Amino acid sequence: MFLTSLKSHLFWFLAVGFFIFWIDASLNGDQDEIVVDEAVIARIKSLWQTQMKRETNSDELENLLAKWIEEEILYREAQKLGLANDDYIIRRRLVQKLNFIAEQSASKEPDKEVLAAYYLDHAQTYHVEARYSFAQIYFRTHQAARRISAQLQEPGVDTSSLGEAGMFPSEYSKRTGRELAGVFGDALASALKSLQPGEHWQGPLQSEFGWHWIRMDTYIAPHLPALETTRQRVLSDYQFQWADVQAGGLG
Amino acid sequence: MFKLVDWAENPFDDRYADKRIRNEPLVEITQIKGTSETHPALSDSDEWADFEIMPFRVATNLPSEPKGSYARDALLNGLALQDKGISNPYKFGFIGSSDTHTGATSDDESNYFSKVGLLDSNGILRGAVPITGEAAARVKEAGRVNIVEVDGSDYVTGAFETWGASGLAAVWAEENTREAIYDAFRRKETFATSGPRMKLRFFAGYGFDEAFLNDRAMIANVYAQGVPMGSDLLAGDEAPSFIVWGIQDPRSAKLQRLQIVKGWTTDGEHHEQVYDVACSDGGTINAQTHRCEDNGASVDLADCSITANVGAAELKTTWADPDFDPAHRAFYYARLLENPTCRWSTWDALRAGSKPRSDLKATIQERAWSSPIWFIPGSE
Repeated sequence: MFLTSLKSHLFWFLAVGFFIFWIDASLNGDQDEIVVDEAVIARIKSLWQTQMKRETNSDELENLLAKWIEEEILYREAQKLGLANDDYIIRRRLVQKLNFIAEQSASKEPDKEVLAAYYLDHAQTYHVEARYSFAQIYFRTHQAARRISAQLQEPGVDTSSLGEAGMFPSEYSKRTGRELAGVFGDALASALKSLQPGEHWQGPLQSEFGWHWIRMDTYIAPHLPALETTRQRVLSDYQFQWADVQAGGLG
Repeated sequence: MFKLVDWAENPFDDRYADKRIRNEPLVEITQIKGTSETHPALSDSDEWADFEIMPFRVATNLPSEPKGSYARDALLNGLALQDKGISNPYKFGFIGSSDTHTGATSDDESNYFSKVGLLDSNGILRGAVPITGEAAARVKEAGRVNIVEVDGSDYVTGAFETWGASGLAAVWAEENTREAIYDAFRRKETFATSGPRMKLRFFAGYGFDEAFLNDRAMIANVYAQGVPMGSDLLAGDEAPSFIVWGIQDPRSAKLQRLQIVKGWTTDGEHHEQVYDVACSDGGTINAQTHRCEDNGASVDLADCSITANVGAAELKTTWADPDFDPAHRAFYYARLLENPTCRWSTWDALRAGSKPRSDLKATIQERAWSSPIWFIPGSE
């Protein structure tokens, strides 16, 4: 009987089939089994920590795990149904992930010479506008402004009680011509260019609102700052651009 | 928006009113989807009430209801509630904001790109320039966008053409820090503008005269002896006096007039009056109409140029209410008006070589609104 069986095709078919099934099962385990191991728990806890800025308590963790398991079941079922195939959103997301990885690999520091060359190539971007720091005394009419011109010639004159009340502070610090044009108008902003820094009072200069005596305390000429002072910004621009090029190549 | 009943249709009580004003001390009086100061139907004696009104409910073509939708009406309803012995839920200050959805502020009439990006990004899409030829046929066939015929041309129509290049929030804060700015929001020491960076001051107190106004130390003195915009003014022995002061944005048009808007109630009945208080170009104020003489400022629609050498860089005055009654609760706020300039839709048409739509305003008067000051009668 047994020997007859050995000769039967059906027997060998079943035997080999069972053997393959046994190997497969022992290698892959149960496909429908969901294992919540330490790695999963650690990932869930750390995500919560990032979002909520604190540890989970035991109730919260239990809820999160229950949700994770439910999500895992749905995720596996969706995969079995092939829902990821031909889905534009999933396709875009995968491309996006790859771009992120490419960008991360771009964030390594370039050589000193490479960054310096990039800086000079893009000098226009980092060019700093002229900046004015000055004190001003305001009058509505030219005549009133002229009245204190002799007084202002005295060395160390106390100006705190001079001038009329306007809607302007008496001192401005490191303002650009553009900002000052917004406050006083274009005429005064461009007249400031011709003033020499120093302790003497100059003017009166006309604005949209009247006449101003100006003491130009400091003038910072338009310039390209030394790379060291603006390095962080240049570096991130460089890395951003580099990542963009990489992403462009991939995307 | 400014209802008089809560979510369950119960009339307001003190608890609701106190909570509401604690949580909503400021109202956005202007933004790109229109201005909410007041409506011509609510303020028929205010010649400037019809300003950048969006007549639809948001994201629909349904007409909006003026009552309950505008700030001045709400301020009056707040006083009327007080007449009934209920706290005032609508004792708010004003700010403006952009509300663009593009990450950029679109508050300049001559450089306007509207609000939502692709849908309203050019003059044709936002209804300021005629839609012609194949595009018109395609749009008509698709039926997704409404087309209206004006002056013999087809225009895209909807809410876009009623939107405005507005607005800005401004605060008077001691310093440029987050804490100081939020404190100013809390005490309502704020004003709103329809886009330009004009500056506006408003104070109330007692006994302010010319000498006080022109003193070098006026600002320090007025904080010591009076109250700024957003505050209560408690009744004194005499009628209050006000200081109101505005300067132009040097990049925008000159100023035409400075006004004070007063609202008060008598046993719940609403009253309002707009007073011109300072005029440009030496104009005088008619004591009956409370209006400045016309300063003759106009706009040449052929190129949007404005009358030269008309208007003021600064308007500044003291003011006393000629109709003051110490028994009435009242609010006062300042409104600063520029000379007329082209509206964005006129700029769009000019650049496209078409005529401005006759059913839209060709010009507007940019403006700023201070937060109100509330007069509190003596018995309170």
